[in-house]
Amino acid sequence: MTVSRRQFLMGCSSAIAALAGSRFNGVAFGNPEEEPNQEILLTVFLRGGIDALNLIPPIGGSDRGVYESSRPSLSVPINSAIQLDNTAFGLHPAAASLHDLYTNNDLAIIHAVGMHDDTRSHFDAMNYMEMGTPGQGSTTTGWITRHLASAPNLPSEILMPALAVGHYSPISYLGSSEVLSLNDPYRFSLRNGPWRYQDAQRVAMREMYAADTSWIHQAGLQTLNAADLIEVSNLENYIPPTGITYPDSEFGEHLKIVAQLIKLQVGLRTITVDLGGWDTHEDQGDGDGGYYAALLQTLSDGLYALYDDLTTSGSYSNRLTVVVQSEFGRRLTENGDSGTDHGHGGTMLVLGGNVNGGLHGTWPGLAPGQLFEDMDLEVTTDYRQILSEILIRRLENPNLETVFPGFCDYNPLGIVQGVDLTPNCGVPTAVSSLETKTAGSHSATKALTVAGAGLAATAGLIALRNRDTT
Amino acid sequence: MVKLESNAERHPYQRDRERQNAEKKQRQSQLTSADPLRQPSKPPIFRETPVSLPTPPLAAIVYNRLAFGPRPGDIAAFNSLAGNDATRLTVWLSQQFNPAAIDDSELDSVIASAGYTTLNKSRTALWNDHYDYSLPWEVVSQPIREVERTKFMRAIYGKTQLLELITDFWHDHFSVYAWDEAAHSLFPYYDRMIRENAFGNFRNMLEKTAQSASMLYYLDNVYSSADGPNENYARELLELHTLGAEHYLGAIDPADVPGYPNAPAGYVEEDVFAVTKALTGWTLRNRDWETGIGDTGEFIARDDWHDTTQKRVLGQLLPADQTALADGLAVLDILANHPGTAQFISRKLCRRLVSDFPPESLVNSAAAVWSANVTASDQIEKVIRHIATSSEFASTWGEKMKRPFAMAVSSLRSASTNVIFRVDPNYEDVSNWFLWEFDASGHGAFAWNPPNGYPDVKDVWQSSSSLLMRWRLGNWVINARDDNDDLYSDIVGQTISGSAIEIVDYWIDRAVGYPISTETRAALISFMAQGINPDYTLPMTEQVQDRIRALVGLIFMSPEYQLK
Repeated sequence: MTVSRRQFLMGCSSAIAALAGSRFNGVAFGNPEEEPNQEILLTVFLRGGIDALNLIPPIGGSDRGVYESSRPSLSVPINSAIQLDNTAFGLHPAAASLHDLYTNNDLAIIHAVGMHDDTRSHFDAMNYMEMGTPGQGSTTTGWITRHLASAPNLPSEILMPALAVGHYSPISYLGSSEVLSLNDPYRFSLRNGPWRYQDAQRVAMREMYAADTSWIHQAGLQTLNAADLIEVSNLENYIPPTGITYPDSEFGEHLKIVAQLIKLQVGLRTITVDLGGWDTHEDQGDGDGGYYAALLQTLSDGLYALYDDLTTSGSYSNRLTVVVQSEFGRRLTENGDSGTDHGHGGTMLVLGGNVNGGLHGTWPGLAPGQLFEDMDLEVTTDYRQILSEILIRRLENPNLETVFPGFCDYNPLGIVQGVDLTPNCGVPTAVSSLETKTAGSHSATKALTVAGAGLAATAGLIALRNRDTT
Repeated sequence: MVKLESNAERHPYQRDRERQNAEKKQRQSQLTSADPLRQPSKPPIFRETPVSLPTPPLAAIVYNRLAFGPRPGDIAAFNSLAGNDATRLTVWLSQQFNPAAIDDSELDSVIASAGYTTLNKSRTALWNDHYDYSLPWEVVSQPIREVERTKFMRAIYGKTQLLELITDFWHDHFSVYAWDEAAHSLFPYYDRMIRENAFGNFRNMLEKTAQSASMLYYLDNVYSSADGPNENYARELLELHTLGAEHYLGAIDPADVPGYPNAPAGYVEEDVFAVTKALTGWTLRNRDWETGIGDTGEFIARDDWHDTTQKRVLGQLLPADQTALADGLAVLDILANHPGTAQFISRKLCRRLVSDFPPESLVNSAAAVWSANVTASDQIEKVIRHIATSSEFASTWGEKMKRPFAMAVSSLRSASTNVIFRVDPNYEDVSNWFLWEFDASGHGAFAWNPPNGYPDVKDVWQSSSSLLMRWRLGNWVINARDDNDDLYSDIVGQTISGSAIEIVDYWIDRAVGYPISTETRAALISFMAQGINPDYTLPMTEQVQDRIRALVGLIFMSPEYQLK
C-alpha cells in the first residue's frame, strides 16, 4: 500500500484508551471547543427513488391541473398540503414536522434536482450519484471519500472521521479506508466467547490482524479499534433529552447513533444514513395517507428529532449540514396499480444551522413540452451544484475537481451561508495519486461491473421497498 | 428564491442539457464492443493490498469456493479420488453434477428430524394452505421459515455442496425478498424450482422464475395489464436477470444502437417499455381478481389483460395481436439468447467461483461456452465446469472473502456442530437465537430487499459492522449451549491432548485445511500457551478446555478463515 493517507482511526488505539477513561466520568471524548470549526456533513439517502411530486406537489397554477389529472388516485389534495410560504407549492401533510424546520429557516427544499444522465435504473443512478460521476460507473472512489482525501482543513489524526450507519458502507464511501460502519451498537462487541478468555481473545485478535499486510488485515484492525471505542460508549442505552422522540423504527435507531456519536466528539466529519422503501410501484397510498405517507412521516419526524436533539444538547446543529437525496424522482403519471414507475427529476432537502431556508431551484413545469422525455419531471439543478456549495461554504473544501471530476463549475444557489472560496479546478497532487495508483497485481484486467452482484451493488444496500406483510 | 412560473423560453439548464446530449453521442460512439462507460475496468485502489499467501492445495480451494468449507475428512476424501489434482477435480465435479446419485442420508435424517411440513407441497397446496392472511402469521410464514432453516441444514450437512452453492448463486441472481407478499408462503416452490434448474438450461429457469408467484408479486408483474402497465419486472428482467446494466444504453433511439436491428449491442428505454407491454397479462390464478380464472396460485397468461399492439424488442418484431403467452415467451427467447446475457451472467459466475474481478479472458471463454449451449439441457453445468477446471480457478486464492453465510456454515462444518434448526411457533428454537445473531451480519437468508441480490465482492463484506458480526458467529459456534447447558459443538471432545503448539496445529489443519501465516499461527500459539512454554503438554483442566474452545473461535475469526 503506497497510497499516502491520513492516520485516521487506524493506529489510534492508544488514543481510544486514553479518551475512554474520560468517558467513564460522563464526559465526551472531546469538547466542542476543542474543534470549533469542525463541520459535520450528514447525508440521508432515500433508496428506491422518492416520489418528489407528492413530497412537494404543485397546489396552484396550471400545473395543478396537470398533476391532478395525471394522478387521479394519488394526488395530494390542496387543502391537506401545507403551503410553502406564498408559493404555488405545498408540502405533503405527513411531512408536517419538516414544515416546522422550514418556517424556522433551517430547512431548504430544492425541487427539480437530480442528474442529467437519462438512466432509470436504481443501481446505475445510485452509483453515479454516490460516485459523484453521472454516466460513469467506473469511478473507483465515492464522492465523500474524495472529499475526505482532499479537504485541506482536516487534522492529520482524527479518531473517527467517517461513519456509515448500517451494515455496510454506501458507494459514496467507495474506496475509503477510514469509514466505520455501525448498525447495532448493542452487539458491536466481541465479548461473546468464553468469559475467562474474552480479554485474551482480544489480544490474540490484535496480534493476528496486526500485520498490515493485506486488505483483510487492515479491515480487521480497524474493526477492532472501532469495537474498543464503541464498547465503552454505551450507545445502546441512549436516553434522548426530555420531549424528543425518535421514530420507533430502524431509521430512528440509526439517527440516535448519529446524535450520540456527534455528542461524544469523536471527530466525525461525514456520516451517512439510509432510509429505504421508496420504490412505490404499487399501492403507494392515496393523496395524504397510506404507505408513502407513513414512510414520509418516519423521515420527517426522524430528521426533526435529530435536529431538535442536537440543538437542545448544545450548539451542534450550528456545525451540522444534513443533505437528503434520492436516486431519482418518479413518473408524473400514476401507473395502473396506484403506484408510480421510475422517473427523473427529484427533490433534495438541506437542513442545518447555517441553511438559508426556503424553496429553491427552478421549476420546469409539468406541461407536455416541459417534461423529460414527455413523461417525467425535468432536472433543472444538477445535484452536484448543491453539494459543491456545501463543500465550499460549509466544509471549506475548494477542491471541486477532485470531488466532482468534470464539474468544477461553481454556481451557488444560496442554499447555505459561508465564504465562497475560489474553487480549485485542478487535482491536488496528494490526491491524484489515489486515482492513479493501483495495487500490485490487481491491474487493468479486472472489471468492475456496475449491476447485479457487482461491487456497486452496495448501492442497493438498503431496502428499496419495505413490504413486510406481517 | 423560487420561480413560480415555468420558463419555457429560456431554461437555465439549457447548457447542461447540451452537455448531456454531447455525452450521449459520445457514449453511442463508444458502444462498439464492451461499453467502457458501463463496463468499467479500473480496480478500486484502497485496501487492495493483496493477500500474499501461498496458494493452498486444490482440495482446499475446491472446498472453499465450490463448497461451504471442508468438514473433517473432506480434504482427505478429495485427495483419495485420484492420483493427481486435475483428475480429482474432474471426478469430484462429475459426482457433484449428478446430485441424485450422492448418498445424502445424513442430511435426509436431519431434515426428517427437523419435522418440516411445507417443503414438498405443490404450488397450489402452498397457496391454499398458507397464503391466507386470515390464518395466524405463523402458518402464513411457515414455508419461508422452513426454507430459511433448510438452507443452513443443507449447506452444513449436505453432500451435494456444489448444488447448494450454485442454488445460492441463482437465489442472488433471481433475488426475491422472501418476506414480501405471497413470496413467503410460496417460497418452497420457488426454492425447489431454482434448485431443479441450477445446473440446467438458463432459458428454462428464466421462464420458471417469470411465472412464479414469488417473482410475479415481488416485482409487480402480477398487476400489469394493458390498461395499467407496471414496468418494475420488465426493467429488472433486462437489467438484472439477463443483459445486465452493462448493456443498458439509456434513452437513446433504438435505431442508434450499434448492430440494430439484427444484433443490437444493448437495450434502451424503448426496449423496457416494449418488454413491459409484451408481459402484460402474465399473472396468477388468483382469488383477488374476478372469478372464473381459478384460485390456485398457478401462472396464467391472460389475453384479456394483454397489450396486443405491435412491439419491437431488441430489434425483433413482435407482431400485433399475439397472445400474452406468445409475446412473453418470445421476449424470454430474445433475452436468453442475447450475447450480452452470456457475458453478464458468465462474469457473475466467474466472480462467484474465482475472484471478485475475474480475468476478462476467463469471462469471455465462459460466455462462449454459454452461447454455444443456449439450448442444451446442461448449459449451466457446462459453464461451471469450464470455470472450475480453468487454470485461473486453481491458481487464484485470497481474492475473495467468504460472505457471512459461508463463514458461519464453514465454522459449523469445521466444528462438527450438532445443531438442527426447527420452526418453533413460540420462536424458542435454537435457530431463532442463531438467526438473530446471523442476520446482524447483514446477510440474512432471502432477506435482501432490492432485486439485485446480495453483493458478491469483499469491499462490501469487510465493512466493520459486518466483519464484527461475523466474528461473533465464530464465538457463537464454540460457545452456544442448549437448554441442558450442553454445548452444541463438542470442541474439546474432538481435540487431541498435547502442547499448545500441537493443539493449535491440530485445529489449524482440521478447520482450515492448509498451513496459515506464521503471524496468525504465532498469535494462536501465544494465546493457547498463556505464558507457559508452548511445548509443554497442557493438562485438560476446565480453564484449558475453555481455552481450547476460545482458540477454535479465534481460528474462525482469523484473517485466513475469511478468505476463499
